[in-house]
Amino acid sequence: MTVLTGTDVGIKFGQRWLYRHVNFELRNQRVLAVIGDNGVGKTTLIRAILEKQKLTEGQLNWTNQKPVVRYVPQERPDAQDFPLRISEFVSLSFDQGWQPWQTKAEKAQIAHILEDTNLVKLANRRIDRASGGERQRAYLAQALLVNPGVLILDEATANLDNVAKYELMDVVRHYRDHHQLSIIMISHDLEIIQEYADDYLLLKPDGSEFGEVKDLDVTQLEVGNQDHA
Amino acid sequence: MLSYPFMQNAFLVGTLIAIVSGFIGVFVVARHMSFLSHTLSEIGFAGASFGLFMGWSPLVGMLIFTILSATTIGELGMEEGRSESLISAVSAVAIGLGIAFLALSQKNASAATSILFGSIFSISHENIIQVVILAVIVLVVGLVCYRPLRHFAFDYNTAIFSLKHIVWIEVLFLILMAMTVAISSQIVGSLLIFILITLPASAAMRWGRTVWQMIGLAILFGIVGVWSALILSYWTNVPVSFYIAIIEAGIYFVSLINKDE
Repeated sequence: MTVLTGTDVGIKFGQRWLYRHVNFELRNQRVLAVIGDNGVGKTTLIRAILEKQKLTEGQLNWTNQKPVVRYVPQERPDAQDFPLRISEFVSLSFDQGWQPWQTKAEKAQIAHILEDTNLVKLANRRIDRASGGERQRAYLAQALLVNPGVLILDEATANLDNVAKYELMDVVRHYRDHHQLSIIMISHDLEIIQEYADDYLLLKPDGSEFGEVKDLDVTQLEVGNQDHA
Repeated sequence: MLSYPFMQNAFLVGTLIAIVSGFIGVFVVARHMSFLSHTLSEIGFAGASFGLFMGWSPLVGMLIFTILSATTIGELGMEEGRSESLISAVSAVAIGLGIAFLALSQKNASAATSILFGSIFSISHENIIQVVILAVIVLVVGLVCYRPLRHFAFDYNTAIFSLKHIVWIEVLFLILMAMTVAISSQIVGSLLIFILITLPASAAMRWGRTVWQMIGLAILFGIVGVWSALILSYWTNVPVSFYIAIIEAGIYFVSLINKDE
């Protein structure tokens, strides 16, 4: 089943088209990798999906009612500034309602998500002292806390070492397998994409490609993307 | 000491202001707006002298000026890059205006001193009622909007996507901040606003591990500072603002030494 369909999407900045005629589908419980060179406008497309950016042409259509969408941005300066506990940082997602305290159900939800993201032992650790991988898992837990239908990861594995990035993506995959969750991930990491993504959208100024990752012609990418692999 | 009505008033108002400033201060520091809060207090100085000039209570003038400028800032949107120079320009204009209104109002120098450095011992009955009402409003609104404010202040990068009415939260926050600045300057004056809003919160944010812990500590530091300063000032006749400044700065410096896990 399709969750989100992009039809003939085009975005123009000033006089310059970032891309035109982009077509793609996000399918239920699948991982869509958005790839392309730096500056091609991957994050801009994400912002359009998040309704923070207008399309110049084309449409983005949710098949059913728009699900809860959670975005894990690449830059998180605030997380390094304050000594909040990881469990407290994760709970920031509870931002609706008037009660200044957490309900019993919410506490249970936090405990549950910490377990799903392997953070139980680190729950009381300071977020600003956590390692890169631990911090990414905390960002992930914060996004998943409100049980979203769509999760968007922006370069989540970019600054992680080889062990940590597989650990993170295993958590993502495991969670996806057990929940109604579809994932869009921006990534430059071909190994990660081939291991964890189902579909890909290759953004290019002239003629973007959409397809299944198993059909992705890796050779054309590796040449262009060596610097940021 | 506590048998004098002016001391009772000072303790009542001081405690209330310490609570409000500690609560709002944590969000101000988390959202990196302490510089803006200082500018608001300079705008408040202009407002207070405008109030004197018009024959109103300085607090009323201060509220009008700070709330108007806070909402204008919200409307403009806080664009990070240019905000620092913008804020400097605005504070220059505000202080200029303040001096102009003071001169025009033809009040004596003590009026200026009490606006700039606070005057808790000579606070009027009318003023006390105003401060109490404002403080209660800020606290109630702050508590009801605690959840969105917390996300907004502590993780802005996801809050902008998660909170639907982020602009309203921003404006609301700036108004709460403006009101806090206006009431806090009743004790410490508009020049020393950092003392009660920024310093206790900054120290608390080095020890607290949850937002509530930070708020609790900030309020505690505020109250300790205000109470000791009132007592010391009563015994020594040196201004309250001086003691609060020294105590809060002292707590903050101690917090810098704290490096434990």
